[in-house]
Amino acid sequence: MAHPILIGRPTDAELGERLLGTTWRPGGRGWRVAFAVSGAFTVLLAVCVTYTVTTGIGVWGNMIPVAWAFGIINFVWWIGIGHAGTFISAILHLFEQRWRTSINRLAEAMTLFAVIQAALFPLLHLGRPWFAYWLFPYPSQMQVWPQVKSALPWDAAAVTTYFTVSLLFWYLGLIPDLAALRDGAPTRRRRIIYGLFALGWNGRSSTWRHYRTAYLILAGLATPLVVSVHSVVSSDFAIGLTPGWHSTIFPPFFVAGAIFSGFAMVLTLVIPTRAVFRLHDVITDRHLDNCAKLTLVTGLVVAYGYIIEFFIAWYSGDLAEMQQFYQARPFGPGNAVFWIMLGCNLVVPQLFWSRRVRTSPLLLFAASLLINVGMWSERFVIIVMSLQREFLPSKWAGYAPTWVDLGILSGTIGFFTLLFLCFLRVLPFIAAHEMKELRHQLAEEHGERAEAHHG
Amino acid sequence: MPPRAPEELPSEFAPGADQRPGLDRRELLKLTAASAALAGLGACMEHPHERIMPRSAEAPEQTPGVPVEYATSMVLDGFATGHVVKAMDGRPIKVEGNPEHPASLGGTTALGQASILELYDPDRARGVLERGRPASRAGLARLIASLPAQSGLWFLLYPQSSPLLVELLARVRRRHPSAQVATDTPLDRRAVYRGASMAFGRPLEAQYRFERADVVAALDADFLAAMPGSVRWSRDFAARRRRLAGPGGDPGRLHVAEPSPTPTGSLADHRVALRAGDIGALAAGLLAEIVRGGRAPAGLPPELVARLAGFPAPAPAAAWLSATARDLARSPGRAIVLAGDRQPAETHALVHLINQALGNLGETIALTEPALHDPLGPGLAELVRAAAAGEVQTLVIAEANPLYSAPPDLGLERALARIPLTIHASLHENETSRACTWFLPLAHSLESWGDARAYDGTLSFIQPLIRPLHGGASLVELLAMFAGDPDPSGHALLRDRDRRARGEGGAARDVELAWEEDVRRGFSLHSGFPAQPPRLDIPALGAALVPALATARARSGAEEPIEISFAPSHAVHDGRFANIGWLQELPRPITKLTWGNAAQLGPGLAARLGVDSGDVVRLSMDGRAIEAPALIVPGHADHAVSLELGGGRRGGGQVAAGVGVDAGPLRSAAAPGFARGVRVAATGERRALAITQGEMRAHGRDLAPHTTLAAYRADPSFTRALRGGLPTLLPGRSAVGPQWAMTIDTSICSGCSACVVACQAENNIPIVGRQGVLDHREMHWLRIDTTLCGSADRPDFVHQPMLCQHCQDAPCEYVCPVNATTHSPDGLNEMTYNRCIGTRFCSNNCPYKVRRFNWFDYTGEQAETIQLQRNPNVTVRERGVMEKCTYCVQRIRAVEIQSRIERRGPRPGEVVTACQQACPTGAIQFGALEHAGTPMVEWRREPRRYAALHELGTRPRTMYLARITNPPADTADTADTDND
Amino acid sequence: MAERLMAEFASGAGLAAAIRALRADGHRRLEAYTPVAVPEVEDALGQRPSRLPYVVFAGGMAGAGLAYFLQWLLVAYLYPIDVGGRPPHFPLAFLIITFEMGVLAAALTAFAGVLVRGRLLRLVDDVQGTEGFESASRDRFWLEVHLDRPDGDERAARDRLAGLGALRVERPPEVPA
Repeated sequence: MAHPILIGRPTDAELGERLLGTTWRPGGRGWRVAFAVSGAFTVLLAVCVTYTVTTGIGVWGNMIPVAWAFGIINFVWWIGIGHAGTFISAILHLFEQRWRTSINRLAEAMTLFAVIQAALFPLLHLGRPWFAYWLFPYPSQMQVWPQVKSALPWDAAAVTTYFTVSLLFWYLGLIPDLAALRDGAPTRRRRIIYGLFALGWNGRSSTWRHYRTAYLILAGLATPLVVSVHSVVSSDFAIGLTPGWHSTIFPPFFVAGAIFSGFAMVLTLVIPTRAVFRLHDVITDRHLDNCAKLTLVTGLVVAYGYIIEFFIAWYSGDLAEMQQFYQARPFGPGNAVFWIMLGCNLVVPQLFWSRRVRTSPLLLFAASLLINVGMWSERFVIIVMSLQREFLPSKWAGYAPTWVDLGILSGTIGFFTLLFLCFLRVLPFIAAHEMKELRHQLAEEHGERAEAHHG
Repeated sequence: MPPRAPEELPSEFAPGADQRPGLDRRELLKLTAASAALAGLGACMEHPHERIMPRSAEAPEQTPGVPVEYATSMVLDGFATGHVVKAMDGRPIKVEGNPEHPASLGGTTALGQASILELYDPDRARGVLERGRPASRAGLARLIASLPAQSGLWFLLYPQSSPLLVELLARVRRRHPSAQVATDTPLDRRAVYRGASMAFGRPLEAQYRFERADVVAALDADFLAAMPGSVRWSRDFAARRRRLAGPGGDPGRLHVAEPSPTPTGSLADHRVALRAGDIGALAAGLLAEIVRGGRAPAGLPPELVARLAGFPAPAPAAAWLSATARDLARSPGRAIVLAGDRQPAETHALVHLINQALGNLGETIALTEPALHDPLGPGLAELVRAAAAGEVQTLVIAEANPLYSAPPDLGLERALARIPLTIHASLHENETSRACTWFLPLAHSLESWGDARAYDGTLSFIQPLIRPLHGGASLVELLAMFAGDPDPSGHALLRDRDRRARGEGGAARDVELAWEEDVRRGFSLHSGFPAQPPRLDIPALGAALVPALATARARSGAEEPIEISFAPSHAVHDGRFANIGWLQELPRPITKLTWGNAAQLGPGLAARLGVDSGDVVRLSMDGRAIEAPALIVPGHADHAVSLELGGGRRGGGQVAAGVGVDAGPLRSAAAPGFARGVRVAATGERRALAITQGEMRAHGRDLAPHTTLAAYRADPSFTRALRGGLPTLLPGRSAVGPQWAMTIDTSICSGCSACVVACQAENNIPIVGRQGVLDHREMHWLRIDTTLCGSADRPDFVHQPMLCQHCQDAPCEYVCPVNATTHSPDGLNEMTYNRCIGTRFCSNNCPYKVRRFNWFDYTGEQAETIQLQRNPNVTVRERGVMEKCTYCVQRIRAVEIQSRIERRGPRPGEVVTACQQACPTGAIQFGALEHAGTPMVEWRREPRRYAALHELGTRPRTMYLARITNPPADTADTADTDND
Repeated sequence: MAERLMAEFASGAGLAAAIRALRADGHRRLEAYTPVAVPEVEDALGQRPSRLPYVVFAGGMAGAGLAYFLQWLLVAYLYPIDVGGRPPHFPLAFLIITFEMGVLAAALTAFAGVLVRGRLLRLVDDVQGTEGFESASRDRFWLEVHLDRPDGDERAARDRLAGLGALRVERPPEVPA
């Protein structure tokens, strides 16, 4: 292996101190500034949401024909970002990729917070959000139930499941560390709080036994979700008639895009965190390198998706499809977004062929930001630009967002950051007990190798 | 009222605008209750006082929730159109055409449909004013009573055809012997009558029989949408064109020459874009061709013949002219040539001569006395002259709003200032009211008694459906006050006249019955004027025409200077309806422009000026100038700009004020219709145009099939790709009960848009205002997609009323997560508003884009008077729910209930949708598929039928019939040159 | 008289060795408390592998079955509405929710399984109070020994544990039975 995944051989005590200690040390000035800024944007989000709900969806830029716009774009974007977290913590766990250990909790937290942002939109974009519960089969005297041939109840089910499973998975992983925090807590208040969340964990080996099994099972359950959730989301469009939506490639295409954007977001979060907390020995360049490689791979799948979309548009021989892809997108209203998408999602990832880029935090960080932008643009292109040019030219129209749209988008980013900052403060963002295990394993291997060397 | 963009807000409000619009609810309920009692109980009252009479004598008593229909009339510029108004619990809620009335035959115009909203306009004037201060009507009455006999009394009215009013004027003259009446309207028809006088020695009215005409040549005449007889003529014309039942049929041929495309022009088989000023020359050219063809009317003076010989046709129209002339000559006695109202007298005279030469007079054209009273009597000019000479002491302006509409060079404002006493009576306090000493609110025609004559002279009655909401007197009552009647009753006046009219001989009882019958019917049977023998004094006429030809010759061909022409708006007419939101938001038939007018010009001129649609241009003419956004209109005459009237109101209500631009400053008394010499210059500014249809081209997609008659005969089933079965995985469904469906013939849809307003009135559809339209949020359930085919300078238009297609495999249904839009057993695509949570997935998945969403609470803040208009049988939608065309399900269910009561099924043609009922040409047909023999079913057997976006497999219940144009064989056909 | 003793060890390996020795001595009631999962210790204690997977599988299947049944009941049986001409019973469309609900149910079962079978969520714990036991969650490995003979020789047991390399031996707090 080029880079080690753990530099040095700290003792359990040291590890515990380093990784759990972050929750005791008070936040620095930088942290407080970041907190204030993201807090401000969160307030903006609250304002925009209130305004929307009290006045009506009309305060957004949506119209006929573009009845879906920022709301759904943001929903798909945030859900997608979540996927990398699950991918890292579940799939890599099943494949026993040990390097994942030091970033998986961070990634899972990202997943949760991203899904929280996403979950906002299905409610918010409704004309009458106060009736959102009609999507669920609650006992209703009206005897009218959800219409499960529509993709939206599928969404509701998928997102609910995804969020719950991610939460359980994340929390289960936290319990031993919470216990450690409880036992190491400097103040009685913290001891009680962490104690409550530790659920009376005391490291009994019989508990460990079931714990390990359950963790493995959850990993196994989360894995299909990585594939299924975005496939379901993609069906919001794939089951439609709209030229640019009506496409069978969407499920794999969306999943790839999701993981692609997710890894970009992981990099966006990990790189600064590791710099701030000086964790270069725990989160090594090896981790960045691997994330970059996976980004590149998924990026290539996305590229393939684009190519197929355009090919099929031509192959279908359908005039509406062809005009959608060969006229509306490159040259129609909002085509700038289309070109940004191509630039960010096709060109930028190609940088990752170079090892120097993959191991240079700064370049990686910049690239990851661009990819996030690119993936948002992709959703804009798919949703808005398709609706702008539908079957009847008489109802073609150009879309423009309002300040509320922009406020809500930036607001969710602020809220996401806020949650992440709090997470960094109150919880161990690296799974301490797993790191200890990892350390023991490495130590043993090392020992064996040493013995072999001696004997 | 609708939200308006800041720059649209009126700089100055009409007096009383700051008061809360709408009466308080109690007062309204009182009024409606009163009129309800009046309407119903009237029948059982012992001494009926102002008894109004429903159409059907069977059930005169009011049943709550059961609508009662009353026949009445709407008068526009003096001409009456028969209406049937539906009243629900005493509230008039919907206007329909009177099927028996010869000027309607059941059809209506957008204006007629919207007149109901004018009644409930919250900005209507509420009280008598003296110099802007509240005064009492009694005070005004005293003032009027106190006027000395020789008081230099003048009246300024719209043209009038009411016998009652004529009688009252005579009574007024008995009191004030020198009283004078001037009539004026921005759409003056004096030229028509002068032309007739030139030809026949007296102002006769031409009655056209389009149902008999094989060939029609309309010279700047929008006879299907903008002329006094339009509604009736549309029905007749359509009846003639509908002979195209199969490929064998003969639809006749319509030749049109006009500066700017109109509904008539868009239905033409053979059209040329020609400046209004060249139409005279074109008429002369036609006559020349016909004379050359050896059909010179006897006694045509030789010098005229000489002049006609080799008369040059206006350059752009040469080919059109020869083809048309040949076509006309081919069908003598079965053709109609007509010229538009704004054309000068000479042109009309020429046209009469042509019709005479072709032997059309007496065949397809009958001549009658004009319905208007004293059509060539004094006008605005005479009034101003008299005022300047100080002969006018008292001026009464009723209904008219000359200070907005009159050409400024008349100097009316100065003249008014010289008149000691001016009284303005109108529905709204408007531009004119401010310049008058007294103001009297007029009663709406749905609030008053009266009579008027239809275009053909039919005596039509006006009866009120509700007590005046804001007090106010009717026009006849106002005149009666001047005749010495302090507190007149319109009802009494009308009854008296009626008795006297029938009186002699007949027993009182018969008179009573006859009166009742006529009021129920809405008009007197066979009261149309008899045809007059056409006697042309050809030599005199010829002599009179010689100089006209000289000028026409001089004019014709010269490209510069640019011409400007003024036309009535299809929505707000001359601006008098500008405060009706429905009309302001009505997409204009061709341009689809809402909320205002624009300087329309052709692509050629636009290119030369370097302006695009939305660029503000400065139009200046001898010192006077206005600025208006340019709008490029394909098929517009080159070297010409045309402007709709009715914009830029400076008062007259919250909605009207400040919408669009006022064409007034460019109009002159000498040339109110069109003039040469306007200078057009781009200002560099831009002003967004609220257009509901962004793209008029089909982009190669087979959306609105159309072809020529020849091609149709060669290949009758040319729409085969757009109909028939498609493979599907879905299981069929078993039909239960009647299967509702609609068929629309695009060959006879003129795009007049009456259906759009009818739908709005029937289904409580709100308006969203200019900004709303700019945001693509208009709520019309029914829109008219106008597809442009062929080249930009010689386009064909296909109007395609686009409403919910009621797909049998509806894409909108299966994507709704909450079962809010589902399918009914009788084939309707149903929308359950209360169940809708507003995901808008259905709209995304509707390929026809006919679903509308309540982005805001559009209905909550409507003025209470407006709310009175609502149809109680249609849910008023709340914020955040989707809505769309329901095939007027409330009407379907009403019929079903009735038929169930009578233990039978719905009868053929029993269910009529609002759009179908309003359509003047009858292009929309609705019914059940089981009812063989009804037009709806017969039409969809024609080979030219097709389903919109058939290839998507949505299986729409709405079928269209392809547009068939019938251009003269010897002209290039534009149908297949559909290259974009 | 103590019934139980708590011994602290430095490493998982050491703990495992001690367990094996004590079992050889005939001690049956042993329990280990470790900061990280140490499979070696579990083997030494002779614990059988968790049977959680079977429970989870059952839970998942139940969830999926219920979901499909509910969809069929509501959409196809109780209230079949004609929607876009689609058949009321539409397995293809039903499958997605079925799958998602199956996963959800399985995950919840798994989590609940840990809580129940892992004896978490106890308000009173019989080892927590032990002197210095906090280290069990950090870097020390603890052993709980039940003295089989209550009359017994606590001293002997202490010596034995010390002999096995226990860093310290504590007496856990008495818990009212």
